[in-house]
Amino acid sequence: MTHNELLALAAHLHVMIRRKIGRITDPEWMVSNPDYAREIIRLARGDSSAELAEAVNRFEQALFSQPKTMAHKPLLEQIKENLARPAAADASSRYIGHLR
Amino acid sequence: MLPRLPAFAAVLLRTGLAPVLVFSTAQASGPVVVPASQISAGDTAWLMMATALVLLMTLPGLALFYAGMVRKKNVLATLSQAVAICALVSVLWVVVGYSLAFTPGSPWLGSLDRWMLEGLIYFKEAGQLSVHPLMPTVPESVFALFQLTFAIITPALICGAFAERMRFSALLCFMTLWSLLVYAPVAHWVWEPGGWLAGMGALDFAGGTVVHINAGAAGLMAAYMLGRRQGWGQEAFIPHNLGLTMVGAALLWVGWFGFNAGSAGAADGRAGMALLVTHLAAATGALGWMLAEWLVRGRPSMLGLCSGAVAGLVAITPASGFVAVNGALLIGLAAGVACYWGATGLKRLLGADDSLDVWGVHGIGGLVGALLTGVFARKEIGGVTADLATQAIAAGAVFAYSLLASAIILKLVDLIVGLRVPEDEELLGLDLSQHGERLD
Repeated sequence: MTHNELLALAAHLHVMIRRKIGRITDPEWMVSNPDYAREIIRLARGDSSAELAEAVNRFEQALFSQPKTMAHKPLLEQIKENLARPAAADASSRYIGHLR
Repeated sequence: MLPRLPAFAAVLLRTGLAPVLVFSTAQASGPVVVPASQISAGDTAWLMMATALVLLMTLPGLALFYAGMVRKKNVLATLSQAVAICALVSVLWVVVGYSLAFTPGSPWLGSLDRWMLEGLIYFKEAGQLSVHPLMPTVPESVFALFQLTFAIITPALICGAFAERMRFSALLCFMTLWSLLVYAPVAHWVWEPGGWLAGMGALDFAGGTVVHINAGAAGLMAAYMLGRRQGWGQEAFIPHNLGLTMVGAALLWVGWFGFNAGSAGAADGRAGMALLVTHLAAATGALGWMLAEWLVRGRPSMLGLCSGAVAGLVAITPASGFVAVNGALLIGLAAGVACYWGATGLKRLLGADDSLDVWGVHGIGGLVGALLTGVFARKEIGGVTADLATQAIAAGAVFAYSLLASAIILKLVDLIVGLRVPEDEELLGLDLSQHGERLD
């Protein structure tokens, strides 16, 4: 999984947490600091929302499971995944920390 | 009475020996006075049109391009910045900027001999007028105004880097100093025949180095020194209206014909080639960015297409009078891909909140163009040979000088008026806090 994709999931989680719990988080920091990410995951799991739980699970799985194989995905496979990804997948991270 | 001419020039003019001035003043910093018959109507008409096109790039082209990308609360402030810079730089240029940039002086800076456009003349009855040696078939009044439009758009480009957080008063101070201490010297280095980079053989047909690397480096430094906007990296900064950005990009694309083909200084075959390669590079720039974004992100965005076109236009700028069609296609394509990286991957690496990607698009595009000019320039088109190492030195020198000088100017302005608006005013938006207006 690319940094962009991970950031997209973190940003999605960030939006969910802000909506459901009213807390502001830092998506960039969630991606780069595992301790911070764990704390945010713990915080999010305290809420009963199914939508939030799904966002947490996706982010946790992406960040902590099989990082090596994900980082070394063949280029063609990576491109295929990018092309197949639904538009909504990165809509939540659009314009967070970057414009283009 | 010939108040603006040096005494000896006035005497020659009165005695009918003015053509001698063409030779006698070419070595000095005075005007070059020629008979009206030397002026080409076709060249002059084209340069007047090109001047209007380049001004159109800033007002409203760049203004709309930027205004569409900022949040709604900062749209009017962004538009105001472009108008203010246009007015401010116009006055500065006439008073001293033109003299600093386009008189011989030293290899580093022009002289002050031509402040207030001293020596710029047009005498209808005598059939005499002044020209600049760089465009000898066009009245100097047109040359000076054409160059002014470049002097306007360059600082206006920088505004994108510190969008949504700079004080308006600080912007005016910064732009005043930057125009005189950075833009004018760099234009002199590269374009005035006595400039040190021109002397080395550095090629920059229409401003890839003078305008784009220069503005990109200043923008990068400004982004660092002003710091990130509140909430950057944590919340989405939704662009107000990307439709405006598309209109702005289209105006830039059209206006760029004046920028590049006008830099030929004549309505001739070279201008025609510049026009052709400019359009092609914009096209491949848009396609290059689109392709890169599609592969990396899974979909091509409208903003990406517009940005890619601008990237291609930026990169072809230094090369436009020197390259053929194949060179233009490749330069545009390379710039589209490189600038996509510049505005995404590199931006992440640098960590600066360069709000509208001035460095990513103009800095990187300018570098790509400057270097590839050294690769693709053809002697049969430009009449000169290019050297990649010389191009790299010129690009590096301008980048380093702009970065350093901009840092000093920004520090100075910060000490005098403060660069950044207070936190509450930033949250309120610059439209209301700086200008007392708002969009509904």
